[in-house]
Amino acid sequence: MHAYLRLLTIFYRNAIINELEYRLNLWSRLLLSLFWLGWSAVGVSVFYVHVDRIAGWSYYELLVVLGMFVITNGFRQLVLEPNLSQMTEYVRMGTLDYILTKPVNSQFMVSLRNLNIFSLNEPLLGAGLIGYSLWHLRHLPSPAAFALFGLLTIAALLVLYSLNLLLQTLTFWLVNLENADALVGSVVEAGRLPVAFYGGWVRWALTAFIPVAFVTTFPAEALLGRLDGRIAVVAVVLAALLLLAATTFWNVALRSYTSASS
Amino acid sequence: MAISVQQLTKSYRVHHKEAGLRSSLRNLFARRYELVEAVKQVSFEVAQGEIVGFLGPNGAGKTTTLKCLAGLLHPNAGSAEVLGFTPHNRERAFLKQITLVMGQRNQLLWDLPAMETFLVNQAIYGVPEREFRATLQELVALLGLEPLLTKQVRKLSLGERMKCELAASLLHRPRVLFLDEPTLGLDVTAQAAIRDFLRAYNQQYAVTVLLTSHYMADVTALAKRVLVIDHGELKYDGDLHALVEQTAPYKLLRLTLQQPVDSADLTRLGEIESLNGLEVTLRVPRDATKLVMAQVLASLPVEDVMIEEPPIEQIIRDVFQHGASYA
Repeated sequence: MHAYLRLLTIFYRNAIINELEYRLNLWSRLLLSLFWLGWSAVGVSVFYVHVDRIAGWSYYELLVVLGMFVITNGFRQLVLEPNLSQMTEYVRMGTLDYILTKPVNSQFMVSLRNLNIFSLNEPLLGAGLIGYSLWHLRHLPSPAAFALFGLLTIAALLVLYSLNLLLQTLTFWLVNLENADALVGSVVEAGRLPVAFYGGWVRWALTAFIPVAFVTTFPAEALLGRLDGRIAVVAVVLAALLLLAATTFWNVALRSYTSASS
Repeated sequence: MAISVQQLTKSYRVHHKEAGLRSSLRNLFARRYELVEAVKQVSFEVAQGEIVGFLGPNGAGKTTTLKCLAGLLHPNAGSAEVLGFTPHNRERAFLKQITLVMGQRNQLLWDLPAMETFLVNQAIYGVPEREFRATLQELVALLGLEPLLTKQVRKLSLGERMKCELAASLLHRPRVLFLDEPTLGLDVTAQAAIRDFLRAYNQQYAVTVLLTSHYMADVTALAKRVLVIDHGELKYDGDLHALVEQTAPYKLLRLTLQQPVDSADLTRLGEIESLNGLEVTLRVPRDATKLVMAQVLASLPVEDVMIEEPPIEQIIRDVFQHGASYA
């Protein structure tokens, strides 16, 4: 455990040195994030021109979901994109061979080796948006609600990570799977809005089949103090099961891996 | 024994692809698979401290064997043992004692100086600080890395990068080195530098080295013992010089003449390998070399004579062409 923390320190120190080379990147990223955040907030406000609530959600409550979306999307850019999304590259270039001959857990290496440090602003912006919305709502969540929100956010990130790992592991057989990224991206995209906004079977599908509801809607509801406690249990169990499934799949895939050149 | 391989067999399932749109479409639904046997029942042993060269054409099964030994591939049949471990279990204690270097692959952090990769590997292998400093110092001296350490990897030349790759791969003091084409694409000077380093390193630390290379010079310079592999089968295992003597029971006499001579006079002495004005190369039986030499000196107007072994490339080509088993 200690050794792995030490590794992460070194990895992320490198990531920072690496990205500081491109200072311009930092500012342009920040501007871009702000622009998109404003654009989405204004975009959804159009829905509320004539009504106060849609499917039980007021405008600022909706912004809490949007903030949650920005956080998870930021996590995707921060952690998933520079790591798991490189899997195709790893397999094709044979980099995976180097990873597998190192005396370190390979799943750890392909999942957390890099960090897109400049995307750190996204989760911060998302948290800011949530804070701003709660202030507007004059709603101060109880410590229990905060704790539940934290728990559900971790579960949400694990769900996203596991889905990504499951998809990327397919690379072992399909070699070229750069679209897996787009697929996970659209799962996250769908989480911009509360699942209640989607009609009938779509809502059902986004909860049960593709767990979009678990990624943004439920953590937001926890913060707003209106989440059914049983759902929290389901979220945690789901995250644990998906993580277990993804890890198992990864290990099975490794066994059948026959590297890029023969 | 550092490495022991028994009846190792590895086959790949590759899908059969024909040219053309129609067959590509058909492939979309029903792929036809083919089993390609990359390595067939290969057995050999390598002692600690030995350098063994792998020779064979592209696709002969060299890299596959190496990957089985480094734990990257599960063999279909047979067994491999390295330092008492079964490689494909990839136990930490095993991985800490080996290293794999692939000429065409890069493990250095591209945008950072090589030193950063060294530090990463120090953490990955858990090398204590003092040991790390000492090892690094030695490697820097042996490879002449001093001026390279602070340059970004992407700004290094191919040869400089390979030196850094080697250093990065040796910081944890592995006992077994798997080197797959370590000099690929390097110029002659850089090749020689890598070779010299490997020889010195092997002598100093008695590490076991398994080396594949396209460059015969790498193998002849480093390995006394070679494994010749072709179509997945081990064709020869043994001393490089013995291979030369078995496969090429002749030597080459290179003559520089003072004036042209009748080719009939030359044929009497040996088989003419090449005839180019006053430069003549004769092929003479190994055990008659001295005798022929005396005759040449006595009967021809020679300026200069040299006795040479036939080039190893040619010998290897002979092994593959005749397909005979020399094992």
